[in-house]
Amino acid sequence: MLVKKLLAYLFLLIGTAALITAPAVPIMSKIWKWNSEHGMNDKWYGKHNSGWGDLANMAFLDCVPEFQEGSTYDFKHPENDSVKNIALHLIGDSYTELVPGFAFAHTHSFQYSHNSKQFKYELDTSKKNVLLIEITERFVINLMRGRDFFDTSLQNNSLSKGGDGKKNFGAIMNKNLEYLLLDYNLFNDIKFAKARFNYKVFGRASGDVALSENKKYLFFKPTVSRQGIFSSYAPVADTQINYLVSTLNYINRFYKQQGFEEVILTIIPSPASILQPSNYNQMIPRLQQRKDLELPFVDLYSIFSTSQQPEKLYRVGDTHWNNKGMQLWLGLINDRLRVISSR
Amino acid sequence: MVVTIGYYQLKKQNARVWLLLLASCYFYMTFVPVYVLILLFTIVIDYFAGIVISTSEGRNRKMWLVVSIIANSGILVFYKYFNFLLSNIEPLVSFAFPHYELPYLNIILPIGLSFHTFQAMSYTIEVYRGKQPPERNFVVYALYVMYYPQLVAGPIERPQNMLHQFHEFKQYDWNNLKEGLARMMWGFFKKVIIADRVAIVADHAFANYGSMSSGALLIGAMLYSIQIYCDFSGYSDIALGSSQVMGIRLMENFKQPYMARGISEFWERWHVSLSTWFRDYVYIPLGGNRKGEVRRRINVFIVFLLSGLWHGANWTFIAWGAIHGVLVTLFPKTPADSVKYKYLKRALLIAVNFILVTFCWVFFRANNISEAVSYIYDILRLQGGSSYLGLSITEVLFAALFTVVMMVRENKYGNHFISKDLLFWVYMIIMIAFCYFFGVFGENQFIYFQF
Repeated sequence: MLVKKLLAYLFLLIGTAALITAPAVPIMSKIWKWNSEHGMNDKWYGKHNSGWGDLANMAFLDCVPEFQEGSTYDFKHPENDSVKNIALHLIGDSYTELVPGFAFAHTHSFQYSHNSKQFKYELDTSKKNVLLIEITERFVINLMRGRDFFDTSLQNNSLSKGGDGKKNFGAIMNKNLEYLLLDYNLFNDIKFAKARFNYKVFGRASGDVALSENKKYLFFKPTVSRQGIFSSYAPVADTQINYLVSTLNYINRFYKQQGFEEVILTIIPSPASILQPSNYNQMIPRLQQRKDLELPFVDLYSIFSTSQQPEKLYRVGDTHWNNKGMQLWLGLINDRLRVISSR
Repeated sequence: MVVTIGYYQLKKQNARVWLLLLASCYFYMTFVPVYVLILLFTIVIDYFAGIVISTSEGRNRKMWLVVSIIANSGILVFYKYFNFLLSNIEPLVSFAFPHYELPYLNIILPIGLSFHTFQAMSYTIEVYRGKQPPERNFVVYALYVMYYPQLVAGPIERPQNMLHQFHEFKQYDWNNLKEGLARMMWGFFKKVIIADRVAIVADHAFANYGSMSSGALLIGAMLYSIQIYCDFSGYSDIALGSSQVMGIRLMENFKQPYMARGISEFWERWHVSLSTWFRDYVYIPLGGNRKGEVRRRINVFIVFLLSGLWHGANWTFIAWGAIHGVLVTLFPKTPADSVKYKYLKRALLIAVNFILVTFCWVFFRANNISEAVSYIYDILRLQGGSSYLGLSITEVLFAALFTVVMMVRENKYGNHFISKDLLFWVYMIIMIAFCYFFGVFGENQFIYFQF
């Protein structure tokens, strides 16, 4: 009887604590950060994080050898790089956050700003200020929905301040509750067994991860869905392309007025657009072909889509490119920087 | 679990009611916290309306009933149908005033709005009819509207069934707990093993109908029928079970609808709490069958049209309701079983009815009427095309097998009570393991949450 009573109070305590903590987003962020910074994720009660890629990790398919590909990026100083007359400002995302300033040609100073944060900059009037905007394809429509995103004259610059927060509160709650109650390395073997079973017997991944048609790559499911703004397959109307062009032109004019010598745009194709292109909505080529687009567009899509081995450009278990993909991009960007430097 | 444990630790009914109300608020506020104010608004109005209706006479009574109905349906119309109304008058307005922009609302539909407004309305109507005394305890009345197991997707309860239960102190009953837990588990089984798995096929079919073969499209539509049943009845099982563990009984919402031999019988078995709501508060006040056969048929049609509209602000739902209305008025009686070929005839009728209902579900699932018509046309014209269903054949067969298991179990062994404790624990452990290992998670919210 006493044991039952104690158990009841224990459940009550743990459950109430989880229910109170889960909706408190700032507290949850602190818990996540603290766990990650203090190496808790390596312990039995930590969160699963194998390092084989975000998708493999999410789907627990990092137990399958086919999806175990590490991430080693090799950054080198560009050749013939003695003239350092460019102040490079990069607004980017997770694709470019690891790229160091020395990897860019003719770059005297380098500043990286993640596109989920407010872009704060200081122009170096003794140098040629260049703004490089890097966007992952799946975020293009979302980021361009409001011009205020890139516009420092407006205050609401952060994506996280958008209206989607309210819509996703239920999902955030579920995620937080799952994190507090079930996301422990202790349970990984069961999760691996389930993921392996689904992959081997049913030929699919779970959650937000989809297997490619040839079962060789993992895709972030919203990028291969037939609907939604993240998708490479959802139709993009001409009016949307028109809107993107006008927004990009606005951004270009705005920053040039602020004193930037050049604003460069580069869109990283989603893996699905390159590796499984039969249903691709052609957003990037349609945007690139627009004659009224006023800012230079670094054409990575053409290079990737005509590659002899496109499967060698992305990590198999990750949403990101691998070293080869990144080097191709860096080469294109450096070509452009050389042109600017020599002007 | 936290609420149930806390519930039985409290020794006063008043405290239990408060606990359930707080838990309901918490549950509701995990969606959009501020929307709890909408509920509070209607609760306050209906609470006072109930008391005034019961203590006054003549026009005053009627006026308060009207106030209550306008408050509830007003909120429903504002949040659910306002943009729909605007989009329908937009062509006219833009023709007459080309530069005028209609004031579309940029809002999210409150979760379970149609359910709790209907439940709230049933209270004031029943008080007005004198079949239910007014609830004078505000917390109890608020709980009647907000009771979390059925707040967002029903069953749409009646005050006669619920209010007295919130006043009774329920003793802890292990058998009740076992039966409730087993029923919840059964609901989870239907949701994560069947509904969310076949949803992948249905979603794939409705997203790619132009390029798929007729056979694959028919399978996609039939699996959507299975999905919506397992999803919605699965939720009902979870709701009934989670309520039963606290000793509070909710009404049954499903009676194996796909075993119906005709469309009328289907409606006696599908979403019973809504069908009976429309019967009691719309069909009978319209005259029911008391004003002749023609009028009866018109009344039936009106009810189905409203039922379609209740589901959502889209012409697809209205079309779905209208088609069912036509079918029920045309085929009001369930065919009788014959002596000869009894089982064969029955099986045939069940199969035909299932196909008929499946074609109606296409309207329910499609994004617009033209999509629904194209989908059905692509099935009927026996086109070739891709036979890929969005899942491997192994997994489709797996889902089919468990659909059969589910139907046989519900048809033959409807009871969830397991008397022997050891057997109960074995059942629970196996079901939990099974649901986890074979369940499809994190893909689909319950379909009826959107209504």
